[in-house]
Amino acid sequence: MRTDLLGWCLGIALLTSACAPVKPWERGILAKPHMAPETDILVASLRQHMHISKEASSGGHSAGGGGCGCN
Amino acid sequence: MIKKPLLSLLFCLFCSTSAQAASPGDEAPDCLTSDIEDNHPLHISDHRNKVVYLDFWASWCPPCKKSFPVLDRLHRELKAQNFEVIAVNLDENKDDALAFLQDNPVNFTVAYDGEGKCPEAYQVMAMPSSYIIDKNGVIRKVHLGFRDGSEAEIRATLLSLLNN
Repeated sequence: MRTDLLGWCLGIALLTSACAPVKPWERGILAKPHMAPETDILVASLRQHMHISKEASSGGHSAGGGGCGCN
Repeated sequence: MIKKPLLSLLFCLFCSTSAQAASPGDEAPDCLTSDIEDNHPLHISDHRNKVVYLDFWASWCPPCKKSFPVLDRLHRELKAQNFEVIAVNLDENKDDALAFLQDNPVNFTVAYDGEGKCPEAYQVMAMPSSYIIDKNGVIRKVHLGFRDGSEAEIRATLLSLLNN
């Protein structure tokens, strides 16, 4: 009885899955410029440059500098 | 112990998620679209006995824009040899496609499928996706995306099929 209930719960959980894949042809709205994570590429690269030079120990981007932002 | 009907249901659920994408050697699935300008119904199979370049595109896709002048050139050069380009637009808003065509005019057939039934039938994996279909309705080449070197590759495939 209890295992039946578990099985039904599992089945219902699978059927009510909320994730639906977005098909390649349904990405028109996602492709709009205002949907980009960074709206201004130049500003984003400057911010990243400053972040890297000040947070060199965090790593993961490129060589760290002395904190002056001039590397 | 989970009962057999329940196990069968779970098995069916897992199986239903996998669908087969149209590949070389498969018969090209037929599907209904409409002409983008006059809404005239257009079956993909209407062009049997011709070599067809079936292209799925959208106005928001930069490689699609890049491919259009190339496709127009190929169509102009090879249409006398029983070659047809069918470009199926998949924009959600048809006006976006019409505005794109104003800026990028072409002479080949442009169809519209806002419901996405055709790309569903072909299991389109990328934008643009194109299928080169031979005179017998068999897919001979699948091309995903569009790069600078694509024209030479496409032209070689088309010429070999047209000369067969």
